[in-house]
Amino acid sequence: MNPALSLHQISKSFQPGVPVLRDISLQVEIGSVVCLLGPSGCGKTTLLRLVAGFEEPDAGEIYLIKRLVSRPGLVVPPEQRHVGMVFQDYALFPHMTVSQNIQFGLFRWPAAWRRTRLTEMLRLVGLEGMAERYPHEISGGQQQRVALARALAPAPQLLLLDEPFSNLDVHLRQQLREEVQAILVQAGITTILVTHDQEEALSFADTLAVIDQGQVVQYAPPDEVVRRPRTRFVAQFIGLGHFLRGEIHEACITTELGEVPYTSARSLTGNGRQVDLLVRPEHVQLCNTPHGTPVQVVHISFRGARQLYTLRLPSGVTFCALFPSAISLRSGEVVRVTWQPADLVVFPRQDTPAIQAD
Amino acid sequence: MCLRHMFRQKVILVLAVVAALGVEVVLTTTLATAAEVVVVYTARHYGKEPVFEAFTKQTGIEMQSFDGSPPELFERLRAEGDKTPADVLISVDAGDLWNAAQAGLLAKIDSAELQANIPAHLRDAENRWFALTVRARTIMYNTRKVRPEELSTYEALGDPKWKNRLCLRPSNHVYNQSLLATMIKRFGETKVEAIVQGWVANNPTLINSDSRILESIAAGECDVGITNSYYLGRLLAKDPEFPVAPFWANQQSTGTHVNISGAGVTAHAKHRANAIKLIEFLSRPEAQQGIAQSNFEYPANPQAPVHPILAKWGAFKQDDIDVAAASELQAAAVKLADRAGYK
Amino acid sequence: MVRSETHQTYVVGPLVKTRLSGWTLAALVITGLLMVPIVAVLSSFLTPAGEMWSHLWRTQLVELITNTVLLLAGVGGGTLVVGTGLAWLVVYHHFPGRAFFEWALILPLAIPAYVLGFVFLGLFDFAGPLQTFLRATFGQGFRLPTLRSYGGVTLMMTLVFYPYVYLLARSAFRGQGATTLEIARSLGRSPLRAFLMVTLPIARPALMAGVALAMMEALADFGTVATFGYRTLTEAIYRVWYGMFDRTAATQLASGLLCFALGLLLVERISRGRARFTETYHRGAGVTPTVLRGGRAALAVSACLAVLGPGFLLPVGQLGLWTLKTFQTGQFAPAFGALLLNTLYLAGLATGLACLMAVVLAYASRLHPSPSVRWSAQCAALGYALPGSVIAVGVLLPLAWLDHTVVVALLERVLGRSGGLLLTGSAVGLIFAYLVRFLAVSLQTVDASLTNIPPSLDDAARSLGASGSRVLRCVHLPLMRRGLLTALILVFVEVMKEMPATLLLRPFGLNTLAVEVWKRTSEAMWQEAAVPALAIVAAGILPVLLAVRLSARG
Repeated sequence: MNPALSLHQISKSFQPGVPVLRDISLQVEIGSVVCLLGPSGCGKTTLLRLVAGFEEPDAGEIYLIKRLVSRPGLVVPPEQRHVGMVFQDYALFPHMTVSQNIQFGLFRWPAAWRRTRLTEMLRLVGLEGMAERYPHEISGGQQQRVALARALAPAPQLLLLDEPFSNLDVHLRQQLREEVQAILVQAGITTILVTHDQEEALSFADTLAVIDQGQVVQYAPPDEVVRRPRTRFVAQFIGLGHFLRGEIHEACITTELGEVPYTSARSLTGNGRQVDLLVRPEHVQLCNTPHGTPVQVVHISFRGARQLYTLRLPSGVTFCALFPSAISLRSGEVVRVTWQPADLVVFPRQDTPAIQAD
Repeated sequence: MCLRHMFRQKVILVLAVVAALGVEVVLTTTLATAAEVVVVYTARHYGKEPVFEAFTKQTGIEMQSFDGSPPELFERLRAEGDKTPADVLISVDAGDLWNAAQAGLLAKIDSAELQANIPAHLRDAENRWFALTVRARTIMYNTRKVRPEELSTYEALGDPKWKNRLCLRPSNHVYNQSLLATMIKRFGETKVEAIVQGWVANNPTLINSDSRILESIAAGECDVGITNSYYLGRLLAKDPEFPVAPFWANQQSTGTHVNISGAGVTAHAKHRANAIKLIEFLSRPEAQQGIAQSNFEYPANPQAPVHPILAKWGAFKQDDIDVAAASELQAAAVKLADRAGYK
Repeated sequence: MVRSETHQTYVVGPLVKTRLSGWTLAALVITGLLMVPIVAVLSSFLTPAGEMWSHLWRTQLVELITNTVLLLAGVGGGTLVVGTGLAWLVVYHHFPGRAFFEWALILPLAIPAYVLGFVFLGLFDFAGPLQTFLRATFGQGFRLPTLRSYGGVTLMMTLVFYPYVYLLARSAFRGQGATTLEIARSLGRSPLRAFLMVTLPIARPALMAGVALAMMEALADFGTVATFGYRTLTEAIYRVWYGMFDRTAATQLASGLLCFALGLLLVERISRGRARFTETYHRGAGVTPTVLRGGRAALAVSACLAVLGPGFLLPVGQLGLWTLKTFQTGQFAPAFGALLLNTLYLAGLATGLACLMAVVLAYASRLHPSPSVRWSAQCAALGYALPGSVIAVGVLLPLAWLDHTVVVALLERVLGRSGGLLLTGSAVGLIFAYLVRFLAVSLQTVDASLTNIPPSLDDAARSLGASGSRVLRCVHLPLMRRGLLTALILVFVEVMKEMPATLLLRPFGLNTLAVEVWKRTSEAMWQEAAVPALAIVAAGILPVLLAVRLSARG
């Protein structure tokens, strides 16, 4: 196991008594893409800056490929870390051409190598012919690609991306995301991406680090985070979902939406235990048989190929369901639905780590 | 919100401008018409001179003064033309008075008293201006390092023995320009050019302030210099032990160069009678004593006594050349200085 | 002329197509007015003065031009290094006293150059206390290099004028934020190299604007060069005017100064090239300053003190001492309150107008960036390079002519009696002269801060339906607040310190503090001059502090 980046119990606060990061430990494999995902203010940008070397940790250590680069009292300066960065506002040097921007980090290289590398990078990001333009003469998407090329040119051991696609419109974002992903895979660069956009995180990452209030609450591949969230927070933050009350019985849990089979290796104490279950919209189905639960359509949100319906149970509790647009229901209509979860996500009524169904 | 805010600010600004200009107009048009006033454009800035207060006390005429440097006053008078509020012009150099008279800015005055009080060579031939005080521009030396026997004339300062020991005011000041102008009138351009070249060859320290020249002489930066007499008077009044004394230059030949501070009535004076009264007052021995003593100058009226410090220096032969006539040569003097390398 | 459906008129002229909107018209009118004195100065060429020119050529013209160029280079370089260096120190580092120095380093702005000149000479000259003491200690032969030299003048002017560069550099650095710098560091450059290669070039428009201001001040200054005996073109103007009574030749020489100023502006514009310097409007974290400790911190503090000491603390201290002595001897200046009020009133009026005009000009050239509008804005700023007396004469002549012909006739008709001189007799001429002289200051500052606002913001606002002036009021002015405030203080302080034009053009009965200072220094009464000089400085400090406060919050 040769981690590109290793964080050991990193803590940081800017004001005494108000910690921004608490006891963070992480290891990032060489060549993998890790996304730091979390709400605003959760500390993900601070973490990135600690890795880059712009902040000093209050406690803990940071290793870049087995080399200690940060601890309280010792911070290897950013210019010696060989870590590439791309920011949200691209931060291209406006007084330099595209070619000068890209070659900025190559000052120690011999001239011939610089030229070759420049051509390589331009080809990699698809901007051949733009070398002599100035940043204000190219589009936003092109600027972002130049920023990427500039960061990749010196072949850094780690690439840090701080919300790099937020400034772009939806189409461009999607397109650029795919392109950048391909580039990163081709280059084999270890990448850490910071974002608050879930879709981006889920599609981009090999591993997801969900951060809440300065702590990593789950560090796992995306599908595990979606299907087996460790905490309530993760469950609610990733993907859509609503909680439904349920009660544990012998081999099932009873809910308003029907009975759900339930077995667990670590069984909870006895029957009658009150729990909350996560209902994902895609697991709700329409059914015409009387054994479905009647619900009323409260709200419809158009999502293109499918529509997101907010449905209300007789008890007043609401949840969401995704149905194809062909099935067009109207507001106020009453329909019957069943719920067939693929993976069951159950939490006790208090906020403790979930009990996963097998 | 920003709309109203900005708009309001603009309105206030415009109103303020209008109000301010309005105030100014009122101020200027009323000021000059107040009763029993004499408006003086003066180049004398020697602090409060009690003699002017004495004038007001005696005659009841209020004196309102406007300070400026001579060329600026000249430009102003010229631009104001016949609408000028000025009644009297007081200057500190003969050349300026001559210049103003030539430009038609000063009026002829027929005053027997002035003709009696002020000697002929200290007033305009056509009675357009009258000297009030006389100041000598002569050689000043460090009493501890130089003996009077070593000094004689302005020209002699070009002697190599004064190399690196000479302090001069730069040639761009009117005092030196007048000195050179009188020298040209006396000796002709060629000779004066040679004299100035002699000065320049001695590598003079150029200091643009007469009193600083005197202080430099006292401190030892140089041993001799040429300054106006009243600056030394002031310094001696503050410190009687000040180690600098005047040497009256050219006593065996042309006499020491003197200049005047004088006054004239403007051509379009609104209070002509008051103006004449002021100049006549200033020419009388009592006022002469006051005006000369407050600034250590020599009174133009020979009947007025001099300050004790000046009396100690003794009498000296003044260059009695027509001061104003020499001023015609001021422009030539500057050009000569340029040619000779006197910066 | 082609009229389109909207109310914009297209003018198809032989040279240039300009869309005449209200803004452009206003800008052209302002420029036209301000150019009148400059044209009056240039019109002196209609009267031949060939003899004067040949005399100058034979004796000193080359020396004068060389000296002037050397002075500009020295002052330009000096203020650039000092101003930028101090701004770098203060923005990117943390050291004891940093917060104090950040605003204190602007204070030398409150001191007029002529005051600094006579204070320094008094202190450091051969006959002054320092050298007297040194001679007493080390022997009579001990001599410091004379202050009355190229080095002395350049040092003096650098100390007085560096705040222009410092202010603008500081705004530029803070406005840039940290991202470009951090990227440069992540690409392997040390903090210093990153600053030199990235931050500094991006800040160039602001820095050059500051240096241009400093150099134009140096060109226009007469008092300091005369006191120090350094011969420049400016000094020659006075020599010809006062010494040779030749105003025509003097104004012709002054036109030469204009050429210098134009040259400066041209060089600056051309050197920008194709690169554009707008940073993406900066949000996100500001700069994290490097903490300096121990020896380095001491070095930083000494650098600040080395500039602030002689530039401000020393002169103020000396003025204070002299003031005390003057109080003791009882020679106190009369009617101080009135003087102060006059000074503030004139300064306030001129400042308001200058900033208003600057905003109109800068904005017009932003909305309709045709060459004619841009050049007209630059021409309006040329007055800065001319000495105050020259502008005063340039103002006096046309206004006096107007007064004697048009106004007098009007007044007689309206009032039925002979009125006074409305224009030259009131503060109008003086305010006009101040505007001609100081528009450059507000224009450069406002322009530099407008450059920081990306055009995308304009487009964004317009797409939301805002018209030109609405965009100005609700988007630009708030964003430009820091720059506008800077412009306001700079002009205010400049007008307060101004002496030559005030002397010539002030209405009868309206004296200012600067006039009082001049009266006394012209007769070497330094101690008595200290009281009004100190008052000028004190009155200048307050707006400086206020603006620093406000701009920090903005």
